[in-house]
Amino acid sequence: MDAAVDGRLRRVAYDKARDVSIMKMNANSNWSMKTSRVNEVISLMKSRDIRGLTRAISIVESNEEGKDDLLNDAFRRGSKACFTLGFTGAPGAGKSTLVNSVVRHFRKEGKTVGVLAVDPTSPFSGGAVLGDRIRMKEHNPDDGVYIRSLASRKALGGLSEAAKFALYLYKAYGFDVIIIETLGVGQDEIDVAKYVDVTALVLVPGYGDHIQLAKAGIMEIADIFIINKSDRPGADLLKKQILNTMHMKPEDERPPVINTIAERNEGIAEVMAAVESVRSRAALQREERYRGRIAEEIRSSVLSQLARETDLHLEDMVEKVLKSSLTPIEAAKEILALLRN
Amino acid sequence: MSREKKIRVLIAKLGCDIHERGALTLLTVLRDEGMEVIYTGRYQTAKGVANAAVSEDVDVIALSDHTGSLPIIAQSVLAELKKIGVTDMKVVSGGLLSPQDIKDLEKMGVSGNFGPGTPLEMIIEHIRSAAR
Amino acid sequence: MGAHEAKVDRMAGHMVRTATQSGIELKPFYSADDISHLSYEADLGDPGNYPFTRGLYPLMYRDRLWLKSFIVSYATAEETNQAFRQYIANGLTDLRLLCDLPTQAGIDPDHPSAWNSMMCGGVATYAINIYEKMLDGLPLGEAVFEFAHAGMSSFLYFYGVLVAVMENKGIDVKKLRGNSINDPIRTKLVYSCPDFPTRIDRRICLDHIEYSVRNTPNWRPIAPNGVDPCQGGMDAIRELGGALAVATQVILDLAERGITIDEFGPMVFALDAESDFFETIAKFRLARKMWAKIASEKLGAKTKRAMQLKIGIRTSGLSLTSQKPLNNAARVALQILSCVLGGVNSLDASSIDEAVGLPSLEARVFNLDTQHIITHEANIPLVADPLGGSYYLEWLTSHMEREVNKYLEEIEARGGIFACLESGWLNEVMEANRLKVQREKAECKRLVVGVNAFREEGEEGTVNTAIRDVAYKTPSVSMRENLVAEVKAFKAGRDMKRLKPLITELYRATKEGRNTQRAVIEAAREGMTVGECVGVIRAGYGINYDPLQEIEMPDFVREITKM
Repeated sequence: MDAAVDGRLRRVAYDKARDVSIMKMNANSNWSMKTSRVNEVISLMKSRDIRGLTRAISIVESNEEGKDDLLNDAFRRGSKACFTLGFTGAPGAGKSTLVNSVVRHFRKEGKTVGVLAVDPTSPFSGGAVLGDRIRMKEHNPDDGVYIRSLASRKALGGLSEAAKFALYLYKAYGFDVIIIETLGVGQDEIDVAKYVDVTALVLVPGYGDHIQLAKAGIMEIADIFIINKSDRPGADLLKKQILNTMHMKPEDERPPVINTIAERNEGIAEVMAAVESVRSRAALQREERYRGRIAEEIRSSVLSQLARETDLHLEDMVEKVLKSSLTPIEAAKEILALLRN
Repeated sequence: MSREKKIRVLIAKLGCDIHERGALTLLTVLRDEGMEVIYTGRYQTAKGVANAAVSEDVDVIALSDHTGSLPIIAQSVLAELKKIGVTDMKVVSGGLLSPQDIKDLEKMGVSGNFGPGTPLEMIIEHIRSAAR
Repeated sequence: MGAHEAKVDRMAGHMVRTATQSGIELKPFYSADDISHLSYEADLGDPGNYPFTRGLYPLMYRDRLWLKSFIVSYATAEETNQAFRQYIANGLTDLRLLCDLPTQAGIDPDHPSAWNSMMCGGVATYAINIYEKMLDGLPLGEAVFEFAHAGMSSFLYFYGVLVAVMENKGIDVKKLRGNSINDPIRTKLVYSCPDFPTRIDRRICLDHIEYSVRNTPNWRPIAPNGVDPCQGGMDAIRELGGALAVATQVILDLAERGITIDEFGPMVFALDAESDFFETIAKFRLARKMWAKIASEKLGAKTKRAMQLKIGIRTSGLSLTSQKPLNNAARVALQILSCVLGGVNSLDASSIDEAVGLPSLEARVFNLDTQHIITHEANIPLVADPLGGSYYLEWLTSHMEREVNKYLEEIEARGGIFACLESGWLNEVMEANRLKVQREKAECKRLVVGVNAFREEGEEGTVNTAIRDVAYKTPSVSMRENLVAEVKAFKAGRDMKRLKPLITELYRATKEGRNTQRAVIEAAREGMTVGECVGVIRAGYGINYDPLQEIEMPDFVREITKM
């Protein structure tokens, strides 16, 4: 059957693969969207009720009471075998449109998909326009797709804590495929790679990407390069530049470079094939990445706690340094000694 | 990580209404007021909007329509929300409204119901209080 | 009012701006030095002479006044037909047709997403039977038609239905006069019309034009649109620049199909009459001048006709307020005046109650009367281009020409107007300007009377309240249910033996790259609906049948695609 012409295929395949809709309504459905009762949220997640997941993400994102319990529970229940795919790249690269098409493909295969889209918070107002979802609106009525938009809400670089924690929750809930889309600006791109199985870097011709490519770290993290809007002038040049950066690698380790025009749904099949081919390679490094993540998780939790405790003594120490011959280094040693007791 | 709770708003347009300017204006204004705003785009279905609102765990759904169909639209969205067990989602509306429309909407629990030309400060304040 | 001191409102005595609405900075006065670089022959010309800055015809309005028209479209075909008859009896000659929003999006009333807005602000003209009812007893061979629709399917399909209706009645279609406000860029830029993706829009646009040029020579099949981009945020420079770029590209595309600009004939633009009085007049004069130059220098026009640009106007809905709606009378009167002084060809002026609800009959007649007063009492149309030679206006026209040319060069550098649309650049430009205006209004650097300046606190007066009491009824649930049932019955009652081959022909013509217009006419005659027309063409391109991706293709269409 020609899948492109017959819109019915998508739904039939889905019904065969999964009997249970993930947007399930609980039998006792008097449940408030405002609930923060963590044990309720946890039990909803266990019964694969999407309202549980959605509330869990909010609780964790806003650092509400019970956040730690939620995360601990998610971690303990174990990361189900969810294939995680990351899309990163500069704004305007067309990531959301690409993700939309990729989701469509996974749905045709009958897979459930969880999408996490991260957008930047405005440094002036603290608000955000979360504008990735609008490009995926064809999936809104589909019960087999969950899409959540997060604002980065951060002052420093790197994938926001909320996004990292949300991924834990997604994995605990369980989707066949998880897709995270982030704004690739500097540290973000590198961070994403640690948290997913396959990282796709999306570039657009004419954006001065050769400058981007020169930045250390970018070339190392991408498992797949996608040149979107490839009908624009400069696409060939960009492809050459990318290929040039990999000529030192043995052929079977070179990441695929694919041309797409996401708006016209062109090149998506090639992207899916590339994802499949890279996936097996990625599985081998999974364990290592997982260890790296755990280490970082522990480290950052310890450091945040330390930072909080340090702050309690900080002002006094600053006064001491200003008024006496105490140096900052000695002050730090004093605080550490205090905390160790 | 920021510790404040941000107000999350879903701006939605259902059916075939093409007049987007009000929705787009509200989008940036609410962002500048520190809220996290998602716009569904046009041509949405009620089920799509309900799913999106629950997935995004928004505090308020803002329905925008200029064809005079807000009561019908609000009813369909509330019905879809009920189907997935959500009965306490705050819904506000704005656009072309007759006095009867406003009465019908308020009976359904939809508040705000702002006609064209309503000062933005009023809308912002209402959304803030609805989100509490 | 409290006991605090009354303050003199600064705005009552001063202006807050020194620039036009589009941001062109203005000097306190202009003189001969400012326009010494202009030459009468090259830059102005007499009315009726190249480059037509001063007007298309030597006699202009003395010979024939501008066409006065407005959209007449109610919920049912019968009501609309009645209204047409009434207006024609009152001197209306231009029938502007508008269908409801679902139909413009390319779906039938029995589509699930049509329910919310069906019959709101227009007839659901889903098939030829509705058209016949709507146009019953109207002088089809003499009236001038205009389709005010948004989607590309609308121009292809409804033109097809109109031609079918005329052929059925034995009226020579060569007599068909009017235009489509067809424009493949604005359907996506402003409305994101879902019926077809842009590349299909482009082909449909050309199919329609090609057919029309060869068969209905008095029909102007395209009118690049500045109104909607302007309402979406574009300033006067970009509004005009966009329309010129679209028109140029379409003529170039037509050349590839073997149609010259001389065969095509005069161009039509649908432009916006905005609040800034002189900038609007300058824009209209400039439009004619620039098109004449582009047509002759770039597109090889040899005949005078091919260098002429007709201007159809919609006054700015954006400028109207729902606060103190009576003020809109002043606004629209000024906008109408700017059109007359700018020498436009046809005018659709907003009604004063349009910001509040659907226009009432009284408000419409007031519009017409305003135009009659401007004509017969103020004597303004007696002299063509009366402001020609004004130092300010000629400087402004010339300055805007430089700005528009810069914009056109930028569009070229980015690969042409379609590339600019598809890359999202046009949307960015429009959005950036819209935000700029939003900020100006918020900071009171752009005043809107009754909204951010000279506001009225407290109760409205009786006149304003009366205007606001515009009773509009949205169609009741039973009306909608009736329509859906009617559509289902209509579809079931067609002769499928005759219809199927015709729809097959449309599918094939689409796939094989042949002109689809004739196939649409034939199939529409046999009862193909607008939703089916859109779906079949989409199927011909291998994309999903339903533009809103909610319903599946009917079985008979699936059979056709398998053949």
